[in-house]
Amino acid sequence: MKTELNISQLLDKYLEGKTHIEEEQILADYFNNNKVKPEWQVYKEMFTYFESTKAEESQQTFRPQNTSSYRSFYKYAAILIVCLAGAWFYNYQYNTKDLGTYDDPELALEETKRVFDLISTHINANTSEIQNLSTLEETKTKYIDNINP
Amino acid sequence: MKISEFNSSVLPIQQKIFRLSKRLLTSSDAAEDASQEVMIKLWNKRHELNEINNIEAFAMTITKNHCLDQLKLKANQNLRLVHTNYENKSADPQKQLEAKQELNTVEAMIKTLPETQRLVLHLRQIEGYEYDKICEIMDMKPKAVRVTLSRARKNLVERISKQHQNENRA
Repeated sequence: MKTELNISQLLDKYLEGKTHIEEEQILADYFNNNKVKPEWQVYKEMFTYFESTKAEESQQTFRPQNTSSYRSFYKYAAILIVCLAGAWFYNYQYNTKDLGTYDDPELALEETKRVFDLISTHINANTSEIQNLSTLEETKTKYIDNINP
Repeated sequence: MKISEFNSSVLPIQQKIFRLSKRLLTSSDAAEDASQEVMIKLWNKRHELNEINNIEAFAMTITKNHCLDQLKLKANQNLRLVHTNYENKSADPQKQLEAKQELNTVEAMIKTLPETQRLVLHLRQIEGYEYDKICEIMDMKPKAVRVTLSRARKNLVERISKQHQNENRA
């Protein structure tokens, strides 16, 4: 009975907002663990609810990643790779441009003539095909241009 | 603030952030989103956190403001509370159902309280903060906190009782 009196006093203080955390914990323990008289049923529900909600947790959790040091490392590695690739490519191009040279002028002349000949055969290879174009022009002149006065 | 410091000082608060968000917002999903956003805000502010002496109160203030902003946007208004997460040790299904209904009633009645009362009640009853911390989070005077809390408790008792009377009559 004495506890009930205590609880009743605490409840009055509680409703006035004058209880300390410790006193509120006494109330919470009391209402969570005891059968109470009907007019206190409301408090029992309230404190049971408060107690049950304290443990409520979110499913997701936020976790910052330790990225800063690794990220800068990858950045510099990427820059290094690009530079190396660029240097290699430049070298490769430069080396392929240099096709060598002839020491003997006579031989150089011969070779140059040979190369020009080779090219010239290809240059004139299809000129006969272009002749057809002039046939087209003649036919056009004959049939279309002559219609107009 | 280094990551390790952030982990030790801010990460333990995230469930509190979630619970406060859930108290203010309408659904668990909205609360999950809100608490993630608050964590991101804190993470982005990590360099300023060293100068703040009470990080927990600061985090709760950010949460409160963020959630109130969300409510103003009204984006959450058409969502409904779908989820109540609690354990009940009683094995009898009938009793379990009754207990669940009772807890749902309490939760529903808390939702009918004005925002400030709801917030103060939550901070005190669920998170167990002392008055000075609540003052800091809510930016209120100690006396105002006490009065608000008292009103919230009285209102809650009254509304739950009324609800039960209506149920019994029906």
